[in-house]
Amino acid sequence: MKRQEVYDNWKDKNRQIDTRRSFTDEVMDRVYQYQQDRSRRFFKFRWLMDLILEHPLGQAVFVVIGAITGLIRVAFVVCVFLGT
Amino acid sequence: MAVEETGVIHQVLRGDVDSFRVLVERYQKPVIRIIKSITNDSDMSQDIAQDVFLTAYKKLRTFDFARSRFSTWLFTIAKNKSLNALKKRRPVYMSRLPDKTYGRDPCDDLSCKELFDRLDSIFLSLPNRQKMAFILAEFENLPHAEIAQIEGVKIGTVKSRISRAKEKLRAALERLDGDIL
Repeated sequence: MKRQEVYDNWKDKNRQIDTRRSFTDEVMDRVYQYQQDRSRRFFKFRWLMDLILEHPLGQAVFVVIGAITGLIRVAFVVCVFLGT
Repeated sequence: MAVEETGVIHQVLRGDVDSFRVLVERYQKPVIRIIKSITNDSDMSQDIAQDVFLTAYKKLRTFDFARSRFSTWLFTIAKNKSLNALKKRRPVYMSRLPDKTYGRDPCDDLSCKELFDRLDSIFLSLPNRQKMAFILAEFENLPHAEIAQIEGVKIGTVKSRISRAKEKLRAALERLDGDIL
């Protein structure tokens, strides 16, 4: 066998690759699982938000927390400008 | 093919999870080949390849069509995951040494097998950078510019890595010339 032929055959051999038959299915199972977990997390967050916002008291707490956070940020900016 | 691929990616991004299967089927072999060239372990390669596709799915939104081809982006993930896996790999014991070759032998006679074995061992002894550049150029037929993007180096560096790898394989073949051929 000639040198070039050996080299080309060796390359062909290494180009062939055996993958598990179920490879694609295994990957897709993991993808679906990830997608499901993500949706579950999102619905948990939505559920919590709905729970808070459907009660007037929950809405009030939400607004107060927002207002306090806003005030703290404004106070922080003012402090930075005044250099204190 | 690239236009069709762009469409598939957009479909996945719009929420059609099943379309991702097209990308897995199209790229599983090159991805496994790249990982195998770095890790030299068939089973490990397939496990890492699964991680590569899952990461690609998770990060698909960050893929920029203007910056690179999908294959370039995917092969970069494959390279990085393989190098990380190599760093974490435990020592390999003699009882579970990895396979030396990837595929079926196109030749059956003993001298041919011996030649391939020797070429395999020389290939495996190449530095990872040379192996990677060689695999991408010779097995995946990627242009040098794309390899440079995957490796994060200049085109000249890629060319020199490929030519050094080829030189070593050629020298090995010449040495074997007297022995077997």
